[in-house]
Parts: sequence; structure tokens; C-alpha cells
Amino acid sequence: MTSPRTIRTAILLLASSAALAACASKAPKQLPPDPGANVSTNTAQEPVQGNTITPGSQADFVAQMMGQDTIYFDTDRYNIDSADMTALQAQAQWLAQYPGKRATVEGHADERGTREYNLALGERRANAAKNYLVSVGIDAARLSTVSYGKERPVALGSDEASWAKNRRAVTITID
Amino acid sequence: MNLRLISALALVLAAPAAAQQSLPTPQPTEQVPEEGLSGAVSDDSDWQDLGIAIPAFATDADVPTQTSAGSTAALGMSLARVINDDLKNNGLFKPVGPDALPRPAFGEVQAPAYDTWAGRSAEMLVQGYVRAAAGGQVTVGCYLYDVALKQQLAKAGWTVAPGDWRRAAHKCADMVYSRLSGESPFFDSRIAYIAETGPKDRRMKRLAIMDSDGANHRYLTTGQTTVLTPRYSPDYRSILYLSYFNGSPRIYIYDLESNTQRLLLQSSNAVFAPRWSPDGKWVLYSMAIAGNTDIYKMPAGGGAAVRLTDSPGIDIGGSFSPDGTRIVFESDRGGSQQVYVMNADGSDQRRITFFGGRSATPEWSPRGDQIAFTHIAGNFRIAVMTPEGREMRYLTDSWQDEAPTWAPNGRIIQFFRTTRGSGKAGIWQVDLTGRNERKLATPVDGSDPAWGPLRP
Amino acid sequence: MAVSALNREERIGLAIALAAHVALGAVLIARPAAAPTIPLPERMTVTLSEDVGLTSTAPSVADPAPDEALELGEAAPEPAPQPTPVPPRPEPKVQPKPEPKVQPKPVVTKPRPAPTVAAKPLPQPTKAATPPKAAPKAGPAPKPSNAPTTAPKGATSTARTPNAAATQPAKAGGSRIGSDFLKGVSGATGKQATTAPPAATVGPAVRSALAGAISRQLKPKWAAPQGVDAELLVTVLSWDLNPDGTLAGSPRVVRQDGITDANRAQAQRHAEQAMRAVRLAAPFNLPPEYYPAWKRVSDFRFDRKLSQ
Repeated sequence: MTSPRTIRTAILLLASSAALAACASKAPKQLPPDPGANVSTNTAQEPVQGNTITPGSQADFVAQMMGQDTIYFDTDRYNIDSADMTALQAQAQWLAQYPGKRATVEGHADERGTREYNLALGERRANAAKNYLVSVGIDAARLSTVSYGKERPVALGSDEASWAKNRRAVTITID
Repeated sequence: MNLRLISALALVLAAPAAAQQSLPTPQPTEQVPEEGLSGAVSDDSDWQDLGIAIPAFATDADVPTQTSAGSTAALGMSLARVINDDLKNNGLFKPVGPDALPRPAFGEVQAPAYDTWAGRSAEMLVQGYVRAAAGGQVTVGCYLYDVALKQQLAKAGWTVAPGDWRRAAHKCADMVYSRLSGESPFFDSRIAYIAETGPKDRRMKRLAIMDSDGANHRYLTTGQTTVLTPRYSPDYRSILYLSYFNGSPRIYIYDLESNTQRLLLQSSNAVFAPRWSPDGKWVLYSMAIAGNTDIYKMPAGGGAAVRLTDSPGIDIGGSFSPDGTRIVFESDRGGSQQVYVMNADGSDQRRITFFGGRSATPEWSPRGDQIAFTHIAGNFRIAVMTPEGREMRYLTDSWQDEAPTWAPNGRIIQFFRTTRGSGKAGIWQVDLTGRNERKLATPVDGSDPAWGPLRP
Repeated sequence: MAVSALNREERIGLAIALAAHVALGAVLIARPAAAPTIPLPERMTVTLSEDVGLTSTAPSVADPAPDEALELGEAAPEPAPQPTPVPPRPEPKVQPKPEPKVQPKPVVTKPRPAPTVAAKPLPQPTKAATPPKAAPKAGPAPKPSNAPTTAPKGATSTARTPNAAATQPAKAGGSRIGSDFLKGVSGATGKQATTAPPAATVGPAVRSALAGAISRQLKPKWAAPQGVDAELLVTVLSWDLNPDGTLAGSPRVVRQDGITDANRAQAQRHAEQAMRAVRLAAPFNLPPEYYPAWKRVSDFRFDRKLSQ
């Protein structure tokens, strides 16, 4: 049972977040994400000036998630298992906490696939993660996806352990 | 094109002519068993490469040219070297180049000293001449002789702009190759590919082009943006490719005449796997909407796109049959990557690969008789099959070979091979017998080769 | 053919290259050692059994087809260049070296080089074997020349043959095989067979030995074109020979088999190469006394056997 009061707060919150989202959606125009291929997505996490992490920043997100910013998939699969759900729910909580933030889900594949199929597969994985986030209440308009196929591995070996780490969907928040 | 054909009389001389004449008449006369002698002879030796001598091309007067090779005499040497390298690299011939041979006199070009060449392990002889032509152009003549039979087999000549002198050599090599192999020519063609440098997790990928022999190499993009999967347009004027220029994968067209690039189509969705139709009028692309990838077709000049597939799985890629009526593509609608064909309007989609494992990246041969693809079952191997999905034959066996592309004559396939561990990739080629495999020399690592058609 | 034209180093290089290919493309697994290929004997036997019933071998000397004939087939494996011009063949140890290289200098010119070696010296054998000049062209009139059953006529000719054979060694400067290479074959004439069969009575064993001799002389010159499915191609040629072993006219294609979509481009090359082999192998070195039997080669098959 939710009290009228909570409902009112919720509405207010929603409205403000919508407004914020509207503002935010204007901004991206200027920041065509990544013109340089080599700006690895991981570098986006580095800016941890000193010890102070600005709440609501990507650095904060990474710190809070403790690894749960990434979910992993089996070979050629894109289904969300229970471990993934736990991680995505944590992400959703953070996103709910900072309703002004948008996020991009990056989909990746391991090197043991053909290039173009891997692009499509990465897109599918990113989309699976996005869909789950939407299903737990995150506005789809705040989420985008991008696939890198097998172009950006995090584990460099050519073995099952490395491949498992590379079959992933990583959520990156946009400040 | 600056290449003018003087006499394309690639004379198919006496012997084949005789063959054709006599083919229809199977000797109706005497078939009495005891009349003529019958017997058989088998060539059971190992595959033998045909010995071909390629001395420097002669010149009537050694004068300067505007070519990068120097004077006509120096150019004559360079031409023969290029021809030698072309013919050396496909496993049919064992050419001996100009550096090891005497240069024939100008007058000998059309009257070879057969006896001299017979003693030089040459069964065939390629001779030619170079002459300075009007307007800085050069004229190149090319002759092929059967040394043992003392017979001319073919000849041709071209007048080319200084910058195109290598093309004259490729044309000559093409003449020799097709006369002696029965196949269509392919040396005078170009290749687009992705040049790769840097560590495995941050590879720099640049669009690059080169001649079929690696010459005239040029980078088209700087490497700041990842680019993938180029495809030469049939007229060599532009290249379709995928770029992350705006942060997500989209298809761009690089105009080789103006050296500019533009987005093929505006979309908020991921767009990849661009392909030309054989006539250059259509472009196939694959687009992912909400994770579901389908294949679309649009006019190359812009206009409304048509969706060709609508399965819930990933439908991607696509390669037209040479007549443009059918498209072979890959789909995982049945649970795993397999190869399908459909009509060019999207109708009649049928799976054709049932070989176990997965089958990907199909490419229709320019001759129409074969489809090359990547077969995945443990290793990734290049294979070919008929358009009906029969008679699969492996051409390579390595840890990871993928993305075949056909030579213009449909007899040779390039692909890229990735090294386990380092992830370094190189461009390789193999002929349809699978016997002749070699790595292409590129300045840096390479992947995603795309062979253009024979140049006009 | 290529091999014969290469010098030793190159041949070694080629062998290495091939070995490397084998290692690389494990697809077409090679049996390691290049076992000397000896398909010929087989072929000969086949011909034998086929023909046996058709012709009568005159000799009463029920001599079983001898080892030597078989040896003959086996002994001629590959173009082992053996420069020895082979003087008068001493005797039996038939060891045909149907070597290409050795070919009497005036190798290939046009189809009909002036009678090089065999021709001039021996009018006798030709004579014995029926009117020579006329015979070649007179294809349609087989009767007199070949008809094996015409024992009587044959008999007379045989009578003469020995002489011819006797003189032969002397003249056969360029002949590496010598006319006595048929020695052991049943139905063949030879010194010891003097009493026996008529020359014109060319029995199946002789015929197959002649075919074998031709095959061996063609072999070093015959190189099938490469290509997908090219090994499926078969070209059957016919050609006529002058008494001196030179070509009379051009070889003709009787038929081609094994053409597929994949090898269609090579079919014409295949025929061309086969005809080239005949041109290069001519003049053929064959026993003159059997000219009637070899003046017309009506059905000669050129194919490719993968050595694995």
C-alpha cells in the first residue's frame, strides 16, 4: 500500500526526472561520443580525481557497481541469467537514484566468431541488457546501445577463460 | 581509363584452333578394333609448374620516360619483373625473371632465339618491347611463345599513361595466365582492406587500398576511427565500409575521386555489412533494430530501402549472384549461423548449408559456379560449395581463417587469417584447388580483404 | 614435361616446394614417399586381356607372355635423363629408356620433320610390312597390312624380318629401344623366333607392347593442365605416323570426357597439351617391321592420375 503522499513524491520525482532527461537529451548533440576508436571505453572510468568521486558520475557508478556494471554471456547466447539480473538490478537502482543520467550499453563478443556476425551478436547482447533495465523501470529513452563485436576485447588471451570475459555487455553512464 | 588496347588479338593460335575443328568430328571412319592402335598415357607426376622465361623487355631506343621506372630500357626490366612476380605467385608457373636472363634484342622480340631459350629450362617464353609514345605515354608489346613447339601462342599491346605502366605488365601477365591456364585474367585488379596496427585490445584500423600485387598501396583513413569491412564498387570509384566515426557503427561511402566520405544513410540504429550489387546500382546493408538484425536493399544513389528478411534471428551480410538475381546470406534463424539463399527481392529464402558446425560469410563467385564461405567447426576454415549447397570443399586449415573474397576470375580467394594469442591478422590467398596458398605482403597487418573486379 | 625441361637444381627446388605444399595443405594428404609411379604395367595387362580373343597369335611356340615385356613397362618409370645414345642394342636385358631428353637433335620442328633417324636406313622392314608409302594414307584398307589372320602373307614377311632386325642395330643409332624390345613378347619376332610368326600377324601382345612404347615416349611430354577437377579430364586423340616415326598430319581429338562446370575452362587446354605431347614426342621410335600396326594410332587416351 502506498500512501497518497508517496505517490505524490513519486510523480514529482518522475516529472523532474523527465525534465532533466529532456535537458540531458539536448546535450548529447555536442558530444558525438567517441570519434577516436582507440578511446577505449574503459578509459571513461579512469577520471577519479584524487580520492573524491563525484556522486552520480561514471566513476561513482563503476565504484558502486563493483564489477556489476558488466554482465557475461555464454557462447553465441544473449539470454539474461540470474547473476545478470542481480547485476542489472544494481545498475537500475543506481540509475533510479540519478534519474538525470543516461547510459549506453556496450555489447561485445569473443574473438571466436566472424566479424560481422559478432557485431550483430554484440548488438543483441546490449539490447538484452537494455530490455531488462527497461523491464525493471528504467526509461528506454535514457538507454542506448552500441556493439563493438570482437573489436574491443578486455581479456587478451586466446582461451576459454579470456573469451568468457569478452562475451559481455557493459553499462557506461553518461554524465 | 588511360589504358588503350592496341591489339587485343590475344591470338589463340594453331593448336587450340585445331582442337576445336576436330572436336566435332570424332572420326567416323575405321573403328575396326584391329585397325588403329589404342593406348593410354597418364600424367601421374606431382603437379608441375610450367617453366616460363621472362627476359627484360626490349626497346628500340633507350629514352627517358615519365614513369617511376626510368628510361625505356629500365622500364623494360621493371615490366618483366612485375610479370615475373605476378606469375610466380599463383602456383601454376615457375617463371624465371629478367635478372637471371639475357635481354633479347629489339629485333628478336618477334623472332625469338628458340634454341637459346630451350636450353634455359624454359618451356614458354614471354618477350616484349617498350617504346616511348606521344604525350609521354609508353607503348608496351607482349608476346608469348611455346619454346618447344617454336610457336607463338598469344600477343597483345597497350599504350599507357606513365603512371599506369604497372598495369601494362599486369595485362601482359593476365594474357599469359589466361592463355596457359584456360582461366580468365585477374592480375589487373585492386584490393581494399583494413590495415591493422597496435595491441590486441586497441587495434588501430585503417582503410587501405592496393593493386593485386600489393603495389600502389595507399591509406585512406587516419586510424582515429575504427573502420571495418570495405567493399570496392564495381567501377572502382568508391568504397563502402563500416565506420565508428560517430561512435556507433554506420556505413560510409568513400569517394576515391574526391577523397571524401559520406554517410550512406541516417539512422539511429546500428548499420553494418555493406555490399554492392554486381551492377553497382544497389547496396545491401544489415541493420539491427532492438537487437534484431535484418538485411535491407537500397538504391546506391539514395532512396527508399526495402527490407529483405524479417526473421527474428540475425540475418546479415549478403552477396549477389553475378547475374544479380539471387542473394546468398547468413542467418541464425535456425539456431546457429548458416548460409541461406533468396531471390533478390527477398522471396524464396532457403537454407543451403547442412555440413555440421556453422557456416558464415558467404560470397558468390564472380563466375557464379561456387560460393565461398567460412566453415566453423572448431577451427575456422575457408571452404567452397556449389550454389545448391553441395560438394563442400575445404581450401584452408588454420586456427582462424575468415571472410573470403573472390578474385575477378573466380579462381582465387583471399581471406584473412588470425593468429591465436596475438590476434594479429594477415591477408592470405588460396586457389580453388587449395594447393597454392600464400600470404600477401602488406606494409602492416591486414584483415577484411575485398577484391575488386578486373579493371576496364 | 616441365620436369624434363628443368635442370637438376630446379627440380630439387620444385621438389622442396611441393613437399612444403604437402605439409601445408594437409587436406590432400600425401603419402610421404613419392613411390615410383608405375601404372603402365597395369595398363598393358588390361589391353592384353581385352585383345586376346580378337587376334590370332600365330606362334606355335606357346611362349607365355614373358617377364621381359612386363619389365619393360616397369623399367620405364620416369624421365630419368639418360644421355647415352644407346648404340647397337646388345641383347635381351630390355631396358627401354624412352627418354625424352635424348631425342635425336632435330626434335620438334613442324609435324613432319625430314625423316630423322629410323627412316632412311631400312627399306626392308617397311617393304616387308607392305607397301609403305601407300599404307599410311590408305587407312580404309586395313586388310593387307594388319589383318592378323592373314597368316600366309605374314609368313613371307617374317621371313624377311629377321634380316631387317639383324641389320637394325647398326643403323639404329638414335634408337634407344631398338626393334628387339619386343623380344620376349609372344608373337614378336626375334632372332630366336625366326622360325615363328609372321610379322604382319601382330598379336595382341605386340600391339600392347607398341602401345606401351608409344605411351612411354609420350609420358615425359605429357603434362595435364592444373585446375579444379582438372584430373577428371580425359582427352582421346588419334594420329597417323610415317614409317620414320614422324607425324603424318596433325593429331585429332577423338573425344573428351570428364568435363564438369569447374574444369570446363581447362578442357581445351587439356586437348592442346595432349596434342603438344604428341608433337613433341614425335618422331616415335618404334620397330619398323611393325609399321602396319602403328602407322595409325586411333584411340590414345591422355589423362591424369593423382599420385596419391
